[in-house]
Amino acid sequence: MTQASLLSVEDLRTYCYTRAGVVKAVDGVSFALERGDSLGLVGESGSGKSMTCNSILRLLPRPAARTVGGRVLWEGRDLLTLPEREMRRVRGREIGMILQDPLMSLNPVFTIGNQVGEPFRLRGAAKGRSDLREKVLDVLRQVHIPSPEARLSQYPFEFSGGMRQRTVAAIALAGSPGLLIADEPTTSLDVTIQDQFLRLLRELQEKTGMALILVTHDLGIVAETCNKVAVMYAGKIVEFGDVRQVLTSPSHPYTEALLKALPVPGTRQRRLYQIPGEPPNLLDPPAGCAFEPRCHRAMQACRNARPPIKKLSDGRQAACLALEAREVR
Amino acid sequence: MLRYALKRLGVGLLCLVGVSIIIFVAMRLAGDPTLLLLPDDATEQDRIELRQELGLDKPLPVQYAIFVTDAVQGDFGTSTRWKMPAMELVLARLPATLQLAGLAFLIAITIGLLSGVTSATTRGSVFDQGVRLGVTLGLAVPVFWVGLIFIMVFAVDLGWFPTSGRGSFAHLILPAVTMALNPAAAMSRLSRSAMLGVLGADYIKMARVKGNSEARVVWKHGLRNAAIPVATLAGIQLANMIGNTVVVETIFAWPGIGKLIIDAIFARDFAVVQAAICVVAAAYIILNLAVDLTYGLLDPQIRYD
Repeated sequence: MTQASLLSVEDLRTYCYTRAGVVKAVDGVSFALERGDSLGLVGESGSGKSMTCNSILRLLPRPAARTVGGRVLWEGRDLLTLPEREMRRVRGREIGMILQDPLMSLNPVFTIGNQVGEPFRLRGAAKGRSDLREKVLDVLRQVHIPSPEARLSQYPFEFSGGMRQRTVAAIALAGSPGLLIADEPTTSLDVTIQDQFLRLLRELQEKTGMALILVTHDLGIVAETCNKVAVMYAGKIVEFGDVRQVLTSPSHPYTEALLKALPVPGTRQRRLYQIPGEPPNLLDPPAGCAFEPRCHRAMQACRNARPPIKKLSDGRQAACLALEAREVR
Repeated sequence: MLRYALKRLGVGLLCLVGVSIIIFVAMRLAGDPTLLLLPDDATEQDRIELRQELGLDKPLPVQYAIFVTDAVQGDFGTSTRWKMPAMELVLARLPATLQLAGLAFLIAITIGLLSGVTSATTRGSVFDQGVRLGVTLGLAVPVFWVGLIFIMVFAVDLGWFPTSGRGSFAHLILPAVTMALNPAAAMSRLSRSAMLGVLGADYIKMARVKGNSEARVVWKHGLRNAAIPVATLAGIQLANMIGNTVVVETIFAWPGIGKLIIDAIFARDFAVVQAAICVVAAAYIILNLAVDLTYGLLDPQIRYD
């Protein structure tokens, strides 16, 4: 990993402490992001995608979850050891975040103008009321909110779902961040609005050059939006690489299975493919590879030790013993 | 909003009529005031004459009609005990009660909110446990007992405050704190649970994502949303306080409406009790309306039409 990366996550470990025991929600995740990159973070529910994002911004639900190891290097500084005061400056200004549910992420009792203006006010970026108003109108226009002047004094409940999501994006943009983390930003929107929103994200990324981490379980979205992809399973990244490479010729059996589970437009399928078995119980994970019980390539060796993530000959990384065996051959 | 307020005031007026009927009848069931007003050696003839003079010989509905006709003209009758217009007597006592209830309310809401919100943000901590214990105690102990203990400890033993009466600011503290304990506990419990509900919301996380300080996250973004149930309780408590002064005013000999009502009941001073209850009921109605109107300020989704 190059030292000059915009964001470099190294061996991140975040554990959840529950009554039933310790859950290793993020268990040694590493990846790097350059300026302008957009990374798709995919995996099924509970694989640690959101936890990874929350760990980066140190927004874990305390005291239940804690980051116990690793480094998050943001422009050379380790965010995990930063004092809270400086961390607050990173949040919103340097790294923005869009939460999953647009209907719930706006505060119901403050006007849209107030909420979009807050990031500007927090960093003292506006000189006076009229300047603040202009800046707010400007970001609202950037996310294509129609007649923004009339919207300033409205409340979130007067907005549609898609408009709320774009407002949330406007708030993130107001901080002009170098990295935007979008945690399943479109799951609660209908397909048309989803598409509009993703197009907006790409457009903003092109305009501002910011990097993007897009958490989703929709590989189609990743294919359209991202240039890199990280596939997570049971708290670990099992495959990481260029989107085209990973999605056209997956190397990890789990990625392969995910792709097989996608519906193919224009064909008649009686039933969608389903990955056999269930995700492992993270309270008591298997000693070997977490995917081994569901894997059609499983070998005896898979049960003994966790496969480390390794760089393959084509530049991507994957964590699979069967794959290594094939590569060597 | 004006229409709404007027409608509510109309309903309030109806309530006032109901309250006045109940208190009117109840007082007359409590006993014959002439028995207390006349000397022991008075004859039956004297008693009948006095009843006629006070208008107590007429049928109840007629008595009530006379009361209402006079009351709407501002005449609530004359006190049989203090020989003064009843309303004048009540209004003279009102400032003392408002002062006591006002300070008690301020103490209750300050302690209640601070402890409740802090308890919610530090859930599970020693502070939280302590607050929860305090809340249970505050709700469980009876007001008259607390008042007596406070007098014993802080007035008699330590001598920090006067035992009773009204005068300096020091006179106000013990009765106000006594009166504030119970509502403070209720306020603390409610604001804790309201805050816990709000703090898990996505917009709170969003406020953190924006780079707000934890204090702003809690006291601005959180509290504004938790404020609606809290405002409801605060309104009920403020209105209750005007009525609840009875016990505390009696213990601390505080010359307010509560003490006046008790004295007037024992004297079977119908006019004074009626006037005082009408004032308390009117205060209750107006405060409730005020609370309902503040919802519109707190929650933008509430419209009055």
